[in-house]
Amino acid sequence: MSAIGTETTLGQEYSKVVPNYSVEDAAERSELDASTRLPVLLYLGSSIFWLLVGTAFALVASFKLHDPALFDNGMLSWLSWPRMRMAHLNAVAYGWAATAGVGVAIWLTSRLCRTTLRYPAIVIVAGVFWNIGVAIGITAILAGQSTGVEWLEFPPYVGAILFASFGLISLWTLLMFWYRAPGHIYVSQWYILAAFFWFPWLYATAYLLIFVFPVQGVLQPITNWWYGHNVLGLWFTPLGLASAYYFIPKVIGRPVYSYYLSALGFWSLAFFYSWNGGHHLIGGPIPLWVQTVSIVASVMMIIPVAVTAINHHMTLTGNFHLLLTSPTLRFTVFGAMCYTLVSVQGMSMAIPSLNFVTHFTHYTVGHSHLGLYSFYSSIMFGAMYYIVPRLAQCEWPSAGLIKLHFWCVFYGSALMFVCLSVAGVTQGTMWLAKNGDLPAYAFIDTVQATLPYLIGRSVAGVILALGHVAFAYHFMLMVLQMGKHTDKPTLFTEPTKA
Amino acid sequence: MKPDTETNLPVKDPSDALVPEEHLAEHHPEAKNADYAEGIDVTQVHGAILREKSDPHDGQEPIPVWIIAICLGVVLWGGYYLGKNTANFRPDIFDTHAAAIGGPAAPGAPGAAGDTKAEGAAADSPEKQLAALMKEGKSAYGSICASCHQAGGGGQPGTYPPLAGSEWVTGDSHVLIPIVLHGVHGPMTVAGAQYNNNMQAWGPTIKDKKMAAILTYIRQSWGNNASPVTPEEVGKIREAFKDRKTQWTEAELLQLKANPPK
Repeated sequence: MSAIGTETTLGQEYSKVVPNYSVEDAAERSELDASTRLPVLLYLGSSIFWLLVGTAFALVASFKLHDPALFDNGMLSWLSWPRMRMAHLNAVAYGWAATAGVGVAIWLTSRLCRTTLRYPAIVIVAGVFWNIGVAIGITAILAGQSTGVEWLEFPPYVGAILFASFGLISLWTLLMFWYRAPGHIYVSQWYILAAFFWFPWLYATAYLLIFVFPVQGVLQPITNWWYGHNVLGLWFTPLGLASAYYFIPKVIGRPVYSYYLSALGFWSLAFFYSWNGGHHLIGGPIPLWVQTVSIVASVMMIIPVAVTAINHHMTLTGNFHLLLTSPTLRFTVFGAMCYTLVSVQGMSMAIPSLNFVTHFTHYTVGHSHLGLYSFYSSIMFGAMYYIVPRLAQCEWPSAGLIKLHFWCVFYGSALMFVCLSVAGVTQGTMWLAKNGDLPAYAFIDTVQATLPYLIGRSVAGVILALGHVAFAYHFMLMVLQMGKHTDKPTLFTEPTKA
Repeated sequence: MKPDTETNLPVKDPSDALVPEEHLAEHHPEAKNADYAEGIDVTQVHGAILREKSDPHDGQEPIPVWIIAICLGVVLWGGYYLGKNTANFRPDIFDTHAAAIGGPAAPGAPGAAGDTKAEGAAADSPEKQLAALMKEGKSAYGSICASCHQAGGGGQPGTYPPLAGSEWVTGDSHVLIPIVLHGVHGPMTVAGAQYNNNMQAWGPTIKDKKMAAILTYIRQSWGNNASPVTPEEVGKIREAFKDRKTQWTEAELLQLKANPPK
């Protein structure tokens, strides 16, 4: 393992391209990947299933915004807009994003700890119960049993199932870390360990303080948004960054630019992010200092974000042409760029004068999709394009399908972001417009003004859905061993340079 | 040298001959690293694994100085903003921004600990000083007083007395200033109507300068036309009653009106 060794490379000149693998490394990796095959494919497969389900809910919800009479025959209350919207959020957050993140994290953990997957039963049982929990929860939402607490809509008994499953996974992560091969601990590993510590803590705290021993009054929304924002910042973000920190240098074969930037980025994220949730309540009846602290912490996020962006950018510098060939790199880098974008946007949205316009509008919805989709989901797609061939032991059958997927993700999410942002600003400025002392517009005017953008958002949703179907079909071919059996990877374009 | 197939980078590929044309389905689970190292028997290792780069590790570039500078700058700003907008961590103050849009604001919100922005204007002409006082007063009134007395100074009939046309506002400043400094409670007749409510003491949270600005503003707005109040006057009255801990009553105020403090 000398070439990969860790201490041995400390002080190595950055500009030097890492010498490639040795055959022993490949043999070890082969053993690691064989051990993770079943659990990781279970997680990735079920996450893609939930992605399709969540996309379907999203399409219905989106269509109903410009065609409210859709499915409205008085019988199908479970197809009503609020239930569709909540089912969408929970299917993509807990079904798709979390499951995909855990699958990728399991694979990364085995690679980073350089140890075969121990106690596979733990992760498999946890994965099965996690999926059962999500399925029950979504059924309950459709049946009208939502708790009505944003991000925690699943009925409390489902929360118990999810927490138990997740506790098992976290425990397993610690066991793997315990058995890791000695050596330097790479930055992706920090993020994974932290995420698997943070999420159960966040989930349990919010769950206990809202459902079991409910706190009173304004403490409830404060707890709710503390959880709602942290689940993005301290759960999905670390998993996305862990993946980006692994795959960018992995694909281009070069060390991450700076260990010190990685460390600064990690600790500043850990320190500032958990204060951010209050910015969802700016202008609400919560103590001013809670709002102010969250505003300051949101702006402080410039530190981890800029540091991470620079670290990734400098790692990539000189290798941008690889974005033309490698699907993994292109998805990951697109996601990483969107991370910078969404974070800077998020900071600006915490500034009261801007928040004043954008709060409660479609603008916020556009922001969430930029974060959870363009950033996080793209990185997960990128990771899967790398991981699945190593587990299925065949190559992606069609470069065309990967291309289709990427451009659907790219144009779909861009169109959705633009439509929702414009719609949000339109809404916000119309609400605020005054004619003397009176509002200048009736509420229905503001609804009608957003109509073209909402239709645009539905078009974007159809584009994204097309990409998801292509990806799911492609994944299914891989699992069914219908991929290409070759040692050549499936790339966007064939390598031309020698 | 041939290009790496994952990335197109030229890399050494010692395994040309070893890559299986077709992959062999199962990897022997009993295989140990030692076996591979010894026999280099990797024909069963999938091509994707064989061609990949070694696992990533950290470079050791130092953090650029300008990043450290930006971090420090942001942290400094954060401290400034926190200090300015936390309202002394009071649990009952919710909003600094309602004033900006003309809506009701929670009492005492912005700069409750004292706003020093306009204090450099001392050397200006009296007109300019008055204009500055009025401007500061209008803004402070909007955020502190308007939630009860309303943006137009009309109060709320039966609950909060009006300031527009109020004889207490346009009357002697040595009565008006103590009202705001220490608050009032109990029945009180204002502009011909009876009120019975409770106004808190603002002396501890509003400094002389800002209080003078507010009082000048309410004495010269909405048709009121009384003399401006100077920060010195507020300071004098504050000193004269520095030991007072209780709110005023109407009777005490009428007495005060007849016997101005020295």
